Amino acid sequence: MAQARGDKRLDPAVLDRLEGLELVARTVVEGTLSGHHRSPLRGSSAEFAQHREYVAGDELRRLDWKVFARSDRLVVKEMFEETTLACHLLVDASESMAFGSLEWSKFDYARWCAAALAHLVIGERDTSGLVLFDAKERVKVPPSSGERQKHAIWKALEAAQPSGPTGVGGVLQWFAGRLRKRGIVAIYSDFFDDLPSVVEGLRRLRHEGHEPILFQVLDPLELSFDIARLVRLDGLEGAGMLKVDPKALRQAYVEEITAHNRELARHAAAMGVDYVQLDTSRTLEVALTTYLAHRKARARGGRR
Amino acid sequence: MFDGFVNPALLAGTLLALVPLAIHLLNRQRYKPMPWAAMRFVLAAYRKTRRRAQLENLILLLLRMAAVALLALAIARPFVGDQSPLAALAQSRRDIAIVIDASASTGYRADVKSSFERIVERAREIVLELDAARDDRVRVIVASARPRLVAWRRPDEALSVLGTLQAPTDESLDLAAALGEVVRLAEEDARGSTQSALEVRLLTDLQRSNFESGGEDDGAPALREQLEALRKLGCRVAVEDLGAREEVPPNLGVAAIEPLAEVLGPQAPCDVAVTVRNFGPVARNGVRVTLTIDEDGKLPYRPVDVPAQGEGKVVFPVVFPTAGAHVLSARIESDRLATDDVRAQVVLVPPAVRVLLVNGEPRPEIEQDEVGFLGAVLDPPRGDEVLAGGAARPFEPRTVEPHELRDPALDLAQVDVVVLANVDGLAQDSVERLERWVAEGGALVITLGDKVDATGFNQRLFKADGTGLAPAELGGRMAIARRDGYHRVREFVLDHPAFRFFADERWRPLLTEVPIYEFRGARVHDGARVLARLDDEAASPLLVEKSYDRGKVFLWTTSIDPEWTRLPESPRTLVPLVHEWLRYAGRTAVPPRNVPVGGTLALDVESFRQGVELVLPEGGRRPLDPGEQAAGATRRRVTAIGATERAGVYRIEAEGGTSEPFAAQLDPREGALARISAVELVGVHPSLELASASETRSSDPEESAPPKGELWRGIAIACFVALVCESLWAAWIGRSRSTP
Repeated sequence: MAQARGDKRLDPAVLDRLEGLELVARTVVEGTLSGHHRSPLRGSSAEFAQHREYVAGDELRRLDWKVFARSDRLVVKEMFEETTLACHLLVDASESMAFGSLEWSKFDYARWCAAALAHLVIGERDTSGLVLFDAKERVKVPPSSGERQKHAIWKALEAAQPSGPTGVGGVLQWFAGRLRKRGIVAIYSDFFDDLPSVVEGLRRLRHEGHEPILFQVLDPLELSFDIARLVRLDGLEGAGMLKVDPKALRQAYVEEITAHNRELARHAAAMGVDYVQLDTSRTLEVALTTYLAHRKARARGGRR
Repeated sequence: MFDGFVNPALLAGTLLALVPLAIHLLNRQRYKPMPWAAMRFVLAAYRKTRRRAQLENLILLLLRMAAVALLALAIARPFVGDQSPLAALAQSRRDIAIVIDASASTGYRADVKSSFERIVERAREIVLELDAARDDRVRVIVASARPRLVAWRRPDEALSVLGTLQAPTDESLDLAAALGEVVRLAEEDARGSTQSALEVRLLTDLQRSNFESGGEDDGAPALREQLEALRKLGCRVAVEDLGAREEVPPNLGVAAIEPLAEVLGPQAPCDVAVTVRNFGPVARNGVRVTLTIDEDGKLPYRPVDVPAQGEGKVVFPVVFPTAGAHVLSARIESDRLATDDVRAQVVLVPPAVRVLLVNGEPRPEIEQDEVGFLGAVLDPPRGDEVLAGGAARPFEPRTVEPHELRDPALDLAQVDVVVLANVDGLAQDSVERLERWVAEGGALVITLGDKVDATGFNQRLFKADGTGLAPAELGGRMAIARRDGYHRVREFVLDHPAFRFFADERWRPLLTEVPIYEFRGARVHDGARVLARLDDEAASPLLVEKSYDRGKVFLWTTSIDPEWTRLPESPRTLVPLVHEWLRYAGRTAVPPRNVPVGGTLALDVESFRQGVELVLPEGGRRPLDPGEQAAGATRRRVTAIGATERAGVYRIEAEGGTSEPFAAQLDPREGALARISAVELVGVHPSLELASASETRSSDPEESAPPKGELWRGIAIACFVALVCESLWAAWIGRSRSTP
């Protein structure tokens, strides 16, 4: 079951009972930003670049009065240029995302995260777009800003149903060449795909100047394989069927999935890509705080 | 691998070893379907662990199947012989059957101990050699006329039973029956195989008569049959000689007591012969024989010379004071076998036969009276010894007229024989009364004459279904004028008691030459028997006998007075005929008073008698079942079955003073102590071998049945190990699979 930490509003069991993605998104954002998190974008989110001589017309608030006090010189602070951030939401809507041992599926969890992020991003006057994919792009909401955009994203998320085969790597590779505006690419998927393909996709995104964040959405049962009785596992996405004694298989399975995830994380780390494992039984907090950290770094003009 | 199983039927339990397999297979059907996304990882893990999981499960399954199979095998108790490769694991135990000769001859006391005491002592030695911890088993069979299995399992049980055997029986040995019991035990032991490992020990005095072969009447063929059965089962009979040392031990015994008089009667002198048999090799002279009558009438002893292997007779003059049962007890000096030195014999001295003569034509003159001559024969004038048939008066006749049969004061229970002499017109109630009386054991004699009307006779006395009194249906009168000749008796049943006197050829003409001028033809009923026939063309019956319930009815088809025959005028014919005939008629069949040891005693008592008991020779008492009484009967038969275990005098007593003696008699042949030699013993059958006390097995190892070792303990341990391993293995698997 969900492990609520801190704000209970972030508990997926609570979120599951909420009607509508908008409410979920607002709840998540408020829950994330309240308490421990302040919006790094409040006030000046610009970063000091240099001093220059005051010229008529410069805003008085930019004067560096400390310098004047010291040197009687009127200088203004120049900041790095603030640019509008683009946040691309890539949500895996393949059949494997339909799995869930709890009352909500991985896809539900992923779209809550995506919806909340969209709400946060657009609320900060950044742009956000959405791509729902399986083996290829399925639904696209081009990046834009404003309430209308937000609602469009939510609508697309609400309407989506996970189906079809997985093809994360291929989609990333395809997508990398089509994103016009550089920005953060938040990818919500279970990444049950060939790693080389995924890594190649990430590499291309990086090459194009984007900042991917991998949000690997996993069900707790997928991680633990803690199944007590004999089961016939019917693979989603046509992966076959197998009768197993989970107890006999558990250790090896955990080793396999852990190795896969670890490898993915390693590759991500090697490329400077953030990798976040989202357990659908846990609160959604980490999904937003990671983005917020990226956003803050971006505002300073640097990269994480 | 195994020579057989003690419980072969339980071997089917090994099929239960398939249960774990069945459970395993059924479990495979109980997989819950579940959609799964991370299939690639499952498949990878499966490929990695499949072989190991299969091996773990296979080992677990095999351990479970093995545990069940071993348990079933242990319960089936397989056994192996010496030659089996598993013999080293087997635990041999001994199974012994000890046959103890408890016949009367083993009471022979050659020295301090009798043969029987030595036999029991030897049996104890054998039992003490056994080891209960090794599960040794011993069966003790006490053999006499009927074998008794007195102990059948543990050595300690056998020892306690042996402690109760104090003396041999008074019975002979039926060795075939005893070995038959051993065959049964050996067959049980050999269940599941053709061989038995039963050791058979026969402890005996080697009395020859127990082993002798002979004609078909003796028990030898049955003995060989049992020995052959044992041979087929692989059993040999080790015969241990615990008898006397001599081949023909000396022994004298009282073999028989018999009254010599043909007719016994109270107050009538009677010679009683006592036969003494010498079974030894040396003649014995002057052997003192004493005879006691009814325990208190001891007669002076008489000496007798008895040759070796022969017998001698000594005669005692005896007078039985009263009618009834008298006990004669003959004794000689005690020797080494005391049980045959005394013998009892119960003699039934019949009372006078009470004859009721129903006179159909009474006349004052004896020659014309219907029963004149008959009455004179039955109750002769004093001094007329010829007519009396001797000093004793065996008859008590009484004459009545036919109408007196209706008189209630006439008690037919006090009458043994009723003679209807030329009686006509019996009332129906008289007929019914006679029917009841005959049914209870009375004897009715019907003689004919001119008064008898055939029609009325047939109506009242004859029934076609045999339920009437008359044994034949009367026909017409057949007469020959005296001047023209006469009929004679052409044939008669020579061995019938009524004609015993005339069976002697010297006296036969006395019957066959007597003229018979007139008679009635008769159609004999199927159930009747013609005892004598006349010489007419039809060979008409003269005397016909029929059983009527417990009584008898005789039809004499001529007259008993001189009217139709001259037989009454011939006392040399009439006297023996009437005496033998009426004595026979008046004799009621009674159960024997002298039975062999182990025989059944039976006595007819009045129905009203209560508290019937059997008094044993040593004085003990045993109540007897009152017995069944037939409807309408006034007497019932009391029996004592198998109660005569000892030779001696028994009594059946009832309230009111009834005390009737019986004698259980030892078989005189038990006194023949001649022993069979070792050579002769083997000649009886190859399965017999004379063994000394120190020998335990046959000297020929090839012929002896291999000892049977059981494996159940080892198999049970293996089962336990399998169970422990299964538990540990299952726990290890569970633990290894529970920690990711």
